[in-house]
Formats: sequence, C-alpha cells, structure tokens
Amino acid sequence: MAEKQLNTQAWQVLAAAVAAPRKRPGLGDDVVGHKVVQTAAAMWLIAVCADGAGSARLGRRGAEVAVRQALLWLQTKVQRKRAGQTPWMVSGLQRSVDRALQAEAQRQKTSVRELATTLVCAVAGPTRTWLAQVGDGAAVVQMAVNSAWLLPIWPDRGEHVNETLFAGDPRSRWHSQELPPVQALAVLSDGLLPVAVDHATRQPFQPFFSGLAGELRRGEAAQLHDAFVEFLSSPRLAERTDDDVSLVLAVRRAEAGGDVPA
Amino acid sequence: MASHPLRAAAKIRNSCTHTMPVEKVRAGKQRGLGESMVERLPFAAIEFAANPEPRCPCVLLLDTSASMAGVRIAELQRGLAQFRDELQADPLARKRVEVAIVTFGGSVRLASDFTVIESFEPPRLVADGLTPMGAAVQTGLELLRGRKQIYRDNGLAYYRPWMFLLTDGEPNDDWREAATAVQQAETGRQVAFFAVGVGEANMDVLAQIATRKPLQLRGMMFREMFQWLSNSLRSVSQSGLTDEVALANPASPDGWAKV
Repeated sequence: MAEKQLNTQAWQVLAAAVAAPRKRPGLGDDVVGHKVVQTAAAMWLIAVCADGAGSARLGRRGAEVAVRQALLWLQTKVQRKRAGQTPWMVSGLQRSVDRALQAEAQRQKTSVRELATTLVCAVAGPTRTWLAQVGDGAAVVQMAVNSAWLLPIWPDRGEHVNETLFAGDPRSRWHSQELPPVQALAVLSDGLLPVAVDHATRQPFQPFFSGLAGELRRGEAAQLHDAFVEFLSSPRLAERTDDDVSLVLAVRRAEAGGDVPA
Repeated sequence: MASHPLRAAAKIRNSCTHTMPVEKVRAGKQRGLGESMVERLPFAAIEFAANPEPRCPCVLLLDTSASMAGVRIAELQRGLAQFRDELQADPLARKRVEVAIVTFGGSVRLASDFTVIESFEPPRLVADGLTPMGAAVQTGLELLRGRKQIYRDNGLAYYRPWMFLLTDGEPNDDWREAATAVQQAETGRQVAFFAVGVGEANMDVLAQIATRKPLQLRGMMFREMFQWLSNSLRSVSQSGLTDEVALANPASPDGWAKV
C-alpha cells in the first residue's frame, strides 16, 4: 500500500471494556482509550489498553491514569515535526506513565503499588507503527504488505499464571517494537488471550481478528458499537475466560474501488 | 517411574482441545408492529482459539510409613476421596488443578502421576516401612520440573505449583539437601511448599525443610485439612492472572491445624 494512500485513509475504530460477569459487580479493572490524530503530514491512530491489578486496591484508577497519560504522551509525540522519522524510546513513555502514577499515589496518599496496572499501546502512522507495553496485554497488527496478523511482543506475565508485571513497579520490563505500516491493529487485555491467541504457536488466532476486522471494514463503527459490546459480553465468550475483557480494534478503510483486505 | 513425557503431552492435548460451534445468525428478531425478520448479527461468526486451560499443579507428598497404619491411613484415604469429590464438583478447578501423589513408606513411590482432577482417582495407600522423606521431597521437586517442561512444550500457561507434605514421623534419610532444594525453590518462587505434621511428627525438622511455618494437624482432622486444600486450590485456580489469593487460616480456633 503506497504511503500517500495510507496518509488519506480514515481509521475506523471500535473500543470497549467489559467486566467479567463472574467477578464482583462494577466496572471491572480494564480501561481502553484511542485517538485519531490528524497532523499536517499524516493521519495517526493511537490505541491504548490497561488492566488494573486485581490485587491492588486502586487498580482501576491506576489503569485510568496510565491510559490517559499514555494517550497524552503519544499524541504529543506524533504531533512533533518528523514524527515519522525519529526513533521513539520506550523509556520516555515509561517515565511519563510512572510519574503520573506516582503523582496519583501522592494525591491518594497511598503507594504506587496500589495503582498497579498493565499497559499496552499501539501507534500507527503512514510510515511506521510503534508498539509498547508492560505486563500481559497484547498488541496485534495486520501488516499492510501481506495482510498477515502478527503478535510481535509476547504478553509478559513472568513464569506463573497468577503473577505479572506492572507499570510503576521498578522491577517490571517495558517492551517496544518498531514495525512497517499496518492496515489494522488491535490492543487487548489478558482476559481475551484465551480466545484471541493460539498459545501453542504463540500467534494471533487469525479467524478471530480477520472476522472482527472484516465486519468493521464492511460496516460503520458507530452502528457496530452495540453489537461489539454484546459480543464482548456474550456467554460463549464468558465460557472461555473468567477475566475482564477489553479490546480496541482499528482498521484503515480503503477508499471506493481500493484494495479491501480479507 | 513417571510416564513417558510424550504420552503425557498427548494426554494434555487430548483432554483440552475442542472447538466452539459457530452460530451464523440469530433468527426471528421482532421489529416494529409484528414485523419479523432474520437479522444478521455482526460478530456472531467470530471463531475462538481452541486453547487449553491453564494448569494448577499440586504434588502431595504422603507419609505411608508403618506408623501411619490403622486409623491414620484410613482417615488419610477418606480425606483424599473427599478432596477429589470437592474439586471435581467445580467446573473450572476440575480442568485446571492437576494432582500427583508421591508416597514414602519403606521406599519412595509415584503412587499417582500428574492428572487433571476430572480424571483423578486416589491410589490405595498401604502403610509400611521407614520414612525416606528427603528422597520423597527431591522426587516431588523433580516431578514438578518435568511437568513444567511439558506445559511449556505444549504452550500451556500454569500457576505457581503447590507441594504439600504430610508426615507423622521424621526422616530416616538425609533430608538436608532436600531442605536446601525446597528453600531455593521457594526463594525463586518455583513452588509454594506446605508441611503438616500428624501426631508425634518431628516439627523441628519440618521447620527446617519448609520456609513457611509447618502446621500440626489437630487430632485426626484429615478431612478438614483436605477440605481446606481443595478450597485453596479452587481459589487459586480461578484467580485472575494478577490476583493475590487470600487463603483461609487453617490454624484459626475452629481450623484443622495448630501452629
């Protein structure tokens, strides 16, 4: 797909976070956010998802702070001149999010540990895609070149299932990866991993993502939103996961007569 | 002793892969004044990966030396049956909790290799011989290492394993190496090790093997102990990826243990 074409294509985005029905009532600990940023040079998409630690008293608040701060940091980044060329350092994002969590901890008169959250971010522009994360969320991308769905960074959960790594924890590892342009992307919380990722091959489950992206390309995000939430809340999905689920799904919409990938 | 790793791997796969039925449409949704139509649901056809459940492995190290003969071994046997029944009644735990039993009475024996609770049958326990506890602990740790490798080879996620030692005596073999191995495994968060003494068990030795304070069983409360164990494993196996699980205190006034 030519860069000029990628510049002008609009993004279609669906985003929702749904609390696990088996857990305590309430909003759940997952928070999602996204922004489409039009600069003089290009159209950028930013998608972010955070999952507050169940063991932390203010896990959801931590997730909200992390999502807001990551969106701010990334928006500032893409609005800079030469945003498409200069390298981005994950340490900058880490510092920014850690500081926001520390400030929130001070406001709440508690420790950062009580705001522990995972975070996964994806930024897509005309010449580059950038992924960054801490913890066990996932960013999945569909390459512009060959339409394959990839999971470039394996969710980091340490060795055992009920242990993970969080923003704000100095022992945590942040990961990032630079990729060529993509035609679609998704960021998701660990609650969706059992149905969205094939653990044996460590790859995204292709029918899951191509099915979702296909619907979004054919339809209008505003009209699909309710069905999207219904899907994330459906009993057949709840049978396969016992956690909150959240997903931001974004596709570039090809113009009339353009190339519509599967 | 242990079954062949490849056979165990095949068993893991067979026990957990299944595909979801794909519903294409929801028919007959009512619209307007009696107008009915077949409406296509946008995301109804999405398929899910056929992923196996994450595993929650637990090794029981059971003293079956001669001193356990009589009412102790009989109560232990009943406790095991209850443990199986309670975990089998839970739809998630029965697919996630895996149990292996190592007995030590005269010799160390793998009485039951790792299996998910839904297909677990407690072995018949026979009390006989001395108490090779050190070798049993080493066997349990080795068994866990092998099991984790099988999980990794099969792309299965797993919880931090549990090891549960029950004895009414003291080791008659060299247990210090085993104690070091347990402490290293605990420090590296490779295992959560619990030790329980029955009757005249040497609690000082147990305190040197386990990093957690060992518990003394009250009387013959084997069944209450196994009820606590099944409740705890059920909570752990259903915890979210990031949840810390608070366990019930077994040494509470009405609990099965004293410290």
